[in-house]
Amino acid sequence: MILQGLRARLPLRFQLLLAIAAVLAALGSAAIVAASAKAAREYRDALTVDIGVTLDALATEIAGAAVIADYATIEQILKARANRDHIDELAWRDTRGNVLRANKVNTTAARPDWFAEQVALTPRPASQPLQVGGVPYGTVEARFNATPMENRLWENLVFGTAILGGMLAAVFVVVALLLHRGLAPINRLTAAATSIGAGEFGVRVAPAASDPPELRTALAAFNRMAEGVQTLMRELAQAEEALRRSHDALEDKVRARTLDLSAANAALTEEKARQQMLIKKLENAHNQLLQSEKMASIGQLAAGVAHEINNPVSFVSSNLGTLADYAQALLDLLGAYEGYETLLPDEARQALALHKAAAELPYLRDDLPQLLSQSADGLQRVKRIVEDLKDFSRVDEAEWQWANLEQGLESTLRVVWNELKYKAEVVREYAGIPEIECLASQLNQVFANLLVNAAQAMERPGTITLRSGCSEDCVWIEIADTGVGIRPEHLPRIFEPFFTTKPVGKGTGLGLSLSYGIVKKHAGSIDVTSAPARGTTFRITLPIRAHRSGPAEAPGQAAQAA
Amino acid sequence: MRLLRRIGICLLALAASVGAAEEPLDFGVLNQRSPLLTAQYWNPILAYVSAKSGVPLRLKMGRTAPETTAMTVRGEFAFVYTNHLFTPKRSRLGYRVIARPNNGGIQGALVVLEGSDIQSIADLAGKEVGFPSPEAFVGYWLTMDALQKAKLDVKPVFGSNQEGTMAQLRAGRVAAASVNAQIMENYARRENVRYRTLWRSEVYQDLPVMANPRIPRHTVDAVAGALVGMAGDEEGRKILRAGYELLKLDGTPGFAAANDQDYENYRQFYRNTLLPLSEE
Repeated sequence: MILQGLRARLPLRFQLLLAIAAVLAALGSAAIVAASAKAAREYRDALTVDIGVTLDALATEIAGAAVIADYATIEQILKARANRDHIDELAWRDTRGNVLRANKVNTTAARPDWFAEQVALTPRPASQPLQVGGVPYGTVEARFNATPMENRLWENLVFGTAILGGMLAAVFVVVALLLHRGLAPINRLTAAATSIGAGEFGVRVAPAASDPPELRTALAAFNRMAEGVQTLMRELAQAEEALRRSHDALEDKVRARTLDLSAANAALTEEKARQQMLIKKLENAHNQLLQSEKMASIGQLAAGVAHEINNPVSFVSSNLGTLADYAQALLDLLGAYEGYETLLPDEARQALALHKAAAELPYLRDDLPQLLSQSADGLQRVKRIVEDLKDFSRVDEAEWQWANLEQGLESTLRVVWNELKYKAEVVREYAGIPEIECLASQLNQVFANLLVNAAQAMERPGTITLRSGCSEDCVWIEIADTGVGIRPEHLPRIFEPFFTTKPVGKGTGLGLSLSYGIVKKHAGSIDVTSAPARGTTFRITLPIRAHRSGPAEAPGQAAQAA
Repeated sequence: MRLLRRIGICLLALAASVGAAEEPLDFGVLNQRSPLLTAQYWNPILAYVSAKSGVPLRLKMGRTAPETTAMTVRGEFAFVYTNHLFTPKRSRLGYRVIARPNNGGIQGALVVLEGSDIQSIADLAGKEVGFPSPEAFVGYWLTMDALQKAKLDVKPVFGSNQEGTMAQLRAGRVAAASVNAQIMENYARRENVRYRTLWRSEVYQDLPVMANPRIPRHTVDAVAGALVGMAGDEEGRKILRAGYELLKLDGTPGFAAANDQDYENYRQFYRNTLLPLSEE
């Protein structure tokens, strides 16, 4: 990997130089190591031979002096022979153990210790018995020293390495010069190729007389190739220009088509939006129609019921008044009879007393007027309910009429009282507004929706405040509750048809939408202010004199957040 | 008490005799050749004689012939192979001849290299002549005596021993050499040296083996018997032949029994010589 990296990064010149240097260094090192090993072997052999020769010669030389015990001569011989590089000590030991020896100052070890271990020249101490004519004259001993040989081997190695280094340097320089000269045309070729790559197709490389013939041929081939490239590029440019013009024309066409399509698409989108709006209006009208028809049916039903109940209630009420008169007359008569009881025989009185006790006459005399009075009250209440139903439905007054909204509000309150009575205390702050020209039953329906919504907004008992007021040509009704309020993000949508926050099945989402439509039909406005957890206030403003506007506009535009 | 003393003395004597038997007797050899060659020749002979005679012998010699002779005169040797003891004064030391080499004797000679211009001893007048040592009988006394009697003065150059002188002649350092004629022949044969003899003396017996008078008779006899018996014994002959081959000697190797009478001509020479005797 490293080698590939180097080959990819280093210039060819350095790669060649490094390769040559590596080969020469490897060959030279191998030669030096082999030569050193061979020299070490020869030294080792020579040392072995020399040990034998030295001991033989020493024995021969000493023998004569040993025979005559000439110690001075022996010492001279030992000294003379010990004065050699590779001998540390020579000695002669006579048969009695006396020793004559000659030492030499140890040679300084110039070589490193590891080198000495590698060449392993170190000889063992050697000795040889000295005999003359079969008679022992002691032994000659020698201790050899390999350091001089090791030094020489080391010097040879260092010298060889230095020579190798010199050769490498010389080869490096020569090869570098040759490469520099040989690569000069390639550099020119590279520069020309770079220029051509940059778009200068007219560039050519002029061969120099000093360039090698192979490279001159390569330069000529390059010039021919550059000529071909220039021609090709010229044709390519012309083709590109034609292609560009064709492309531009095509783009113009596409742009025009795109504009047409965009216009058509915009028209379609607009048409689609308009159709959606129409569909929405149609749906609203349909729903309002359904609601109106439903309310009309309810109103007709209520009116029918009220009419049917009204007749019996009338004659029952009439009869009950008469019955009260008759009962009072009978009670008066009974009192008169009781005044004359003392005149009756005891037996008769006793019998009457038994009847009166059985009838609980005293109680009856007290309770009967009350029962009649309560029945009269009940009938009054029935009559009022019927009146309220008639007021609510106004079936008989489905046309524009003058009506008092405070009365309408009250009658509506009574109709929905069951929804309110356990949840809210109703506070009335009426200003005594004048009658207005309106569709009273539809406005009652608006009030009913707002009151029921207010009651349903109460999670715990609270207050519903009913206010009224007027200006020169308008009246207003406010219905304010202390309920949970409407979340701000819902406010813009509360008048949309079918928008509801109630659980599924609890609300249709049409109440406020219809109310909005009814108010708009009166050319009025309905505003809402609400704060979460504090309550909601609806304010309906209506003109005193009707403008008889058409169907309601799109709801959802009058809501205001508190 | 007296008995115990005698027993003690006997034990001491026995111990002394045992110690004496273990301690070898020194056998001196006159320096005719280098100590090495001398030892190579004599050590096998002495080992044989020691084994045969039961008398342990050890070769001993001085660095030079005069030194060996001085050691002989000082009585350092039990036996000695020399012919330096026939001067009148040394004769009184009491050394007795017990054996001699079994050859035809020795002669002194004056020799020159074959190509030398010197044709006679008269030509040696004033020339440098090599001699082994002033103590050498055939190498110095016989030849110098002859030169003196011929009224020739030469410049003596001493070469320490016979072969040393021969080596000087061979090297051209001396004009002529005074040598033992038999040793010269052997040397020339061994070293391939060609020479001419200018003068030769009468024949004298070769160097004798002599016994120090302090050595007991039976010891001397044992040693003499072993020496003389060598030639009759296979092992002894083998050793002698090896010695002769080593020294390139001619003749039949061996020792013969000898006595002082056999060397009377030596004593006669010393009585008639013109050379001054310088005996210690």
